[in-house]
Amino acid sequence: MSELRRLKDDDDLAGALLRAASDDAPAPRSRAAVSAALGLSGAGLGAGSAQAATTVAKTTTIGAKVGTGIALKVGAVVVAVGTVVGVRQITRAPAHEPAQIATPTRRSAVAATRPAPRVSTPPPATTPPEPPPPEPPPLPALPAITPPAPPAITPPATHAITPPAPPATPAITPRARATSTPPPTHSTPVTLAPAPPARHAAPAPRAAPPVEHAAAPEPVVDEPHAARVQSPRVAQSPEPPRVAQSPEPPRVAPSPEPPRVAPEPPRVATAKLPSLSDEVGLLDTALAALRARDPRRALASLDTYDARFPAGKLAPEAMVARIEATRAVGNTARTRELAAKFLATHARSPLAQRVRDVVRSLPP
Amino acid sequence: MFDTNFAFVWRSLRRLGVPSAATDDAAQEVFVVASKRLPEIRVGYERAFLFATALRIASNARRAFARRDARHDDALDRVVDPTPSPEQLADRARARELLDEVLAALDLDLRAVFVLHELEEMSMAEIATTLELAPGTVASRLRRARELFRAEVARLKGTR
Repeated sequence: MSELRRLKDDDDLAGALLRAASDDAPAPRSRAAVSAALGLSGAGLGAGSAQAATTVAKTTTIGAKVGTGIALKVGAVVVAVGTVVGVRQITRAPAHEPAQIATPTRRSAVAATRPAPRVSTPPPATTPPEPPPPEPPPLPALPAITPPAPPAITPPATHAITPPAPPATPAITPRARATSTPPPTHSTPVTLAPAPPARHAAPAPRAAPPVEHAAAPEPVVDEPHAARVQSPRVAQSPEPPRVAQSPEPPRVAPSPEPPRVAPEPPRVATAKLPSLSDEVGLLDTALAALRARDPRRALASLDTYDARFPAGKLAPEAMVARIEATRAVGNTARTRELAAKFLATHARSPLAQRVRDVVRSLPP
Repeated sequence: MFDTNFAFVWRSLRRLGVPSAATDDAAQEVFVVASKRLPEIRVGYERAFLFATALRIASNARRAFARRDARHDDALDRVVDPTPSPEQLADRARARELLDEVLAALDLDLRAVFVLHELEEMSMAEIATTLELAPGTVASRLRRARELFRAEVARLKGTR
């Protein structure tokens, strides 16, 4: 059969449209989320967490539209939080409904196929076995185009659904450790704790505001709005993970404990969780400012971010935001400098292309 | 199977018209189906199986989405990256959006052949295997799909 030349090789609009799609690929976090929901990744995913992961997977996708790399990782962080929280359900935007309905079946389907230990384990607290993966999964940038030849898969592929477990959710680490720490550490320094008990009723529909705000495509970016979005999340974000870690409700009551100023090393695992949402919050503020064409405010948020999270999980995203904000204030030299620094360490990051594009768009 | 084919499945679903917000779920569904039917999947035909499943799920998803309040999803789909990212990125996102718009004009049957050939760069023979179609059918569907595609693109040009 003679092969036709492909339209995407044509130098016209049709070709251009097709070429634009040729490097369309799922976000690494999409893969992680789906893989987690399928029970393919790191052990210790409770039943609830699979569901959360699915739901969040969606959020992740939405996030992808909002702010490519950054929102992605935000979504991923949310996956992490969602995983830890486990039983928390994220019932909210209508877009989430199908996941809610569909997942139980799917999960049971997976369970039926594979006698996997984790699929049926109910609450997160009971599944600590996984040795903590040290790093958030590196998740190689996906091969943009998969090899066309189907037989690339070898016979064992038939069972392949089970083995590979690369994208262990970062959140598992903290949870595993957290559950083993004897005292019910209440890591939140501030915690105004707006009615934690309600959240304890596990699948309470109100459990998700941070998630929603984190990734919801808020097209409106006027300043007051951004501020509004920001504040509630930061106010309450720290505690959902912590609350979820404690399996029994009574523990919640004494939460407002101010004594802990800085979490000491052994407890970092516990303290890290809230900080994730804080990171998201700060970064979100910066992004909102960027969108509102207020790069200086964005830079201020990013400074706060860097100060509070010198080794933040979203550091690369923050860096990219900083690069864009620096360009927006017109500091070309600094932009180049930052971009070079970023590319030196993150050449293979999904964000790298974005940074290169920024550099390319700089005036000579 | 998952690792090798996730991107393929995801992309296929997108280009088969699954809204981006639902793609992860749909992809998960594809792999759940695959895991349930592992014994039936012939070695070397994993991708064909996955694509066929994706096609079915895409078709269901499209119906489901058509039934549901479309405004909401449209709103989601219309939100293109509002961050001030470089024009190039924005252009690409926009182009993909347009592409999906154009592809939406094609029946799923045509669309499947078109996507596999034009985007996944499969040969006609591979497509025939993947979709379990006669080679002649693949060729004629591809021809029709291309005609429609070009016509749609031309229409697009006219309106913008």
